[in-house]
Amino acid sequence: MALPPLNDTITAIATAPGTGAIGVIRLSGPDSFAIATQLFKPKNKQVLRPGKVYYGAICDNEGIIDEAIVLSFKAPHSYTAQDVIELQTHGGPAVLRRVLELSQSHGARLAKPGEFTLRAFVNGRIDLVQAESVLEMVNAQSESARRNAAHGLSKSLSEQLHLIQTDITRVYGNLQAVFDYPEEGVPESEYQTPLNRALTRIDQLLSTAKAGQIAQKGARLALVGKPNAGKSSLLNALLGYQRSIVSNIPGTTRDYLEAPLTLKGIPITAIDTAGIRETEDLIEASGVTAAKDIAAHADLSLYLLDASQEPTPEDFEVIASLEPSRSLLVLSKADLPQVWTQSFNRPLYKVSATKGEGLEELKTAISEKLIGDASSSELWLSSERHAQALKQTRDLIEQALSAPDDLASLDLEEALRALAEITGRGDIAEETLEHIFANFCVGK
Amino acid sequence: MKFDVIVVGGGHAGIEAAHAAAKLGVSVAMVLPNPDKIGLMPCNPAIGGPGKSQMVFEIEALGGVMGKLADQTAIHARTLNASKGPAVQSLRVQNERDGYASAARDLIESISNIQIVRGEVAELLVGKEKINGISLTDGRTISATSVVLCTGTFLSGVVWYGKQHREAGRQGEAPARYLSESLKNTGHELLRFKTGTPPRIRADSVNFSVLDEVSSDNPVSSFTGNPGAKVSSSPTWLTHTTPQTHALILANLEHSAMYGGEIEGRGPRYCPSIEDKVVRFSDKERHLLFVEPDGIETSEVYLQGFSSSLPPYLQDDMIRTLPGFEQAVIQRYAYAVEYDAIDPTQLDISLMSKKLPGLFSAGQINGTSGYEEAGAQGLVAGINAARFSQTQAPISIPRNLAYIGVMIDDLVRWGIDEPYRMLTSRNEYRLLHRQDNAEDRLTEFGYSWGLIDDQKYSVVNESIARVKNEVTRLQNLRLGVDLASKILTRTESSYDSLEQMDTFPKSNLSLWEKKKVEILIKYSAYVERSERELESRKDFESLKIENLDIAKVSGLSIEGKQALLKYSPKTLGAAQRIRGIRDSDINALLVYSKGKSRKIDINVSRETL
Repeated sequence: MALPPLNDTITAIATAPGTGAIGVIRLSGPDSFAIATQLFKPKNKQVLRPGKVYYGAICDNEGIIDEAIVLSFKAPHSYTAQDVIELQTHGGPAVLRRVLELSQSHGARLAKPGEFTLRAFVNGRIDLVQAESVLEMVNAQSESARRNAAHGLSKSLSEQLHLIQTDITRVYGNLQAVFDYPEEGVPESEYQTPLNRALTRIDQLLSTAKAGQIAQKGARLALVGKPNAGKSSLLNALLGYQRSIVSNIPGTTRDYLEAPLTLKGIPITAIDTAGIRETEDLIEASGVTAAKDIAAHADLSLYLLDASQEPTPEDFEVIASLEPSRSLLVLSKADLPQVWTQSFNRPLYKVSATKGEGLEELKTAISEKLIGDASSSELWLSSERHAQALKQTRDLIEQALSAPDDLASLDLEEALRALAEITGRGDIAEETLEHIFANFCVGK
Repeated sequence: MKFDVIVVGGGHAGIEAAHAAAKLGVSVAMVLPNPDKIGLMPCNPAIGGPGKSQMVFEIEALGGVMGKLADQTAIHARTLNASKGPAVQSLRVQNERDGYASAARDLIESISNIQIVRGEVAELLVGKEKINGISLTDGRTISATSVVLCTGTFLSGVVWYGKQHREAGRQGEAPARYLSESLKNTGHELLRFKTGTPPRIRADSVNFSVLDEVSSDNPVSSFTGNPGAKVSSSPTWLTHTTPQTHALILANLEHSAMYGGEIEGRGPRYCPSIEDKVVRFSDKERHLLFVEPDGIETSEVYLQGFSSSLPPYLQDDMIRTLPGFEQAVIQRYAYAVEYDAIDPTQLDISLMSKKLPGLFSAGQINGTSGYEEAGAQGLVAGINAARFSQTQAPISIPRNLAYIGVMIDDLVRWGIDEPYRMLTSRNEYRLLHRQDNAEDRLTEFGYSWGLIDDQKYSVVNESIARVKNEVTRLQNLRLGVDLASKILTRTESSYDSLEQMDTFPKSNLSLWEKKKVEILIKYSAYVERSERELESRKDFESLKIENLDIAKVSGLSIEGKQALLKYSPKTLGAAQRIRGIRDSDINALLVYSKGKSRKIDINVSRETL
């Protein structure tokens, strides 16, 4: 178990898991301002100064991820008494995850449970009673997470982890046997094969990580389309009850509506957005902007096209901007005759909300888009921390593959330690010795 | 008689303990039954090897004597893992067995404030909650402020030849019969361990011409920078078991004390007997055996890899199935020895007993195996025994500083259930704890503790400065298009290959210093990474959490609480390494200890923020 240092820069999602109106990513530590400057572009190109609020955009190399409000605090005037940055974004898990990954790619470390509180306490910002109550809460959570780790890891997942661990231990043990018994004829075994096998297994597990997180935390599903395209009707049909006010006056849904539902076992928050259309109406315009954002940052968007209305250039433009992996096209009001024939070169799911036709097919398509075929494999890594530990394991193995033997063994020892964060298994030195003495006849 | 410090035993732990204590200026009695046996090598006549050589370099850097004795009496030296990178390169020297012992005895006898006392300990004398001295079986008593026990395998020793056994400390020597009782009476829990040695064979009965020869390195390295005059004067040899050996062993297993179940002590996995090897690795057609000479004029060879608890008459037959040993005559038979050891979790990090202040122990009595492990503990125990008698605070060597620190931390915190041998894999800091940088890591401490004199200190510092300057020079020296340091980082290049270049301005560094420069440059990226990790853990290593009422710490997991109660770690860093402790437990401890005492300085410097 690696203990966290207290003076590097850490990051985490500070708001509760799931969906909220806003989501906050917090950074604490000496590089907070530097990292924020790299990923956040203030609207008026100001330099970030302590105690100020900035509006702007969070960007990666490819462009804008989200609009955000940034609050900055200079040490010691912050929760942790270190430099702190809070990035407030729209609350979707997909956005938050991307911003979190981005801040890590700029050098922040993913915080461990309770780490912000720990720093706050160590630096004298909160007193013992406060700190203990926060930590108890964190511990209660990590305790249940740990119990999950012990009992709740699916059998096939722990088998996979065990196989990965066995391959690393074998190579590490063989290297150490050669080092510690250099003259006793320990065969120098080839280690590309077992390490590459471990890498393949790790990649397979990581590929299910997103699905696992969606299965656990839920996904945001945006219903997008022009006014009166049938979004609210579709939402009601998916919900099975009346939620939105359904009317045929364009622009009735002025803000967006959220509704929780479960589709094929996946917890989903469906968002019915205001219709996308340029408008003079101010209230309507703010709704349109929010709708565009939410569509872009949902885990999955359904773009609705009215069977009875010819698609407009706006429809084409928006559909072209949607990632096919994160969107579905829906032909709504399919009970009405389709008056147009244009093709979008993508599947079009025909749904009649009033007659309930095509709903099942749409639900299946939504579930497949969100979690793929992961539901059958069971190998869900549902925790961000597990995924993080596996990524670290993978990086260390890759490093070992190109390092000289003595350094490779250090990398592999560290990889075993990273893996132990998931499996909770302990004494690496002892397990390695067991491997050595079980497999090699060494010793005087 | 009255002394500041009593050292019981004159083996490798006792020598370092007595020497270190005497160096710190206190009066020392070395008590042992037979002064002729000071510095004996009862196992193989060699010092060093992986994990062990690093400790010998560390002993030397701190001002101890093992490296000097080993170099002085070396007849063969090799750097093991030479092709494997600096983190695991290890020197091993073969020694003249008698030469080593007489050099050790001369050294001890030459120190004026060490008095050798012949005798066997009858009892530990206890005063007001601390040790007061010892009584001897002949009725004499010796008083002292501190006592260091370095009894090796002698504590209630029992020697086994096949199923025959008798009480003995070692072949032909009496055991320490009463000390175990006295330790128990003073509240100590004892462990029972077992180890074995292979047979010694008359050298003139071996046909060396059919054996594979292993020669010394050329040039040789040394522990002290001064290889002995005779260091390249002898080879070692290899032989191996044959199908006949295996058949003979398998047919006679019931005569083995180990297999017969008579021996109750637990043996080390890394010293398997030849019976073990044949049974457990039945698919191996042959097992390698190492033939080690006991001196230049070899009169006896040591057959490493052939430990056995089979009876002597079988050993005669077994040995003659080995190539080159067809006519061999065993001079001393292989035997197994069982002995008592103190459960080391009863010691603190200074190697003093938690049960009896002033009582220290070092070496095999603490459950370790090996001369190097013993010497390293002897050094620490000797320093602390002297400091205790001078009412000075104890010293300790932190885990992140040296192999010695790793070993003592492992011993006193975890405890052991088999004899403990140092291995590189036990040390997570092995990239930083290299034999080449022992002086850089430790001489400062040896000097401040009073073991290193001014002259030696300045010689070491000058050498460290030379190496540092040379690294800087190479980082700024352009050779053609590239910097010299850049050239050196290439896999195939070495300091030697730089010197081959006509354009390279030569330096006046020693071979050893050149090697250090090479390592520092070649591995700088990795070493810096390791150092950063070490730095990030330092806060926790220095944060003391002893004397906490664990039951009152809220937020600890149940397993965490149990583990903390069992091991009572002294620092947060030590707590962090305990099995079953989680990040959340560490947080809870930190919060509680901070709340309890604001004195704790956790070094989170605001100026860095």
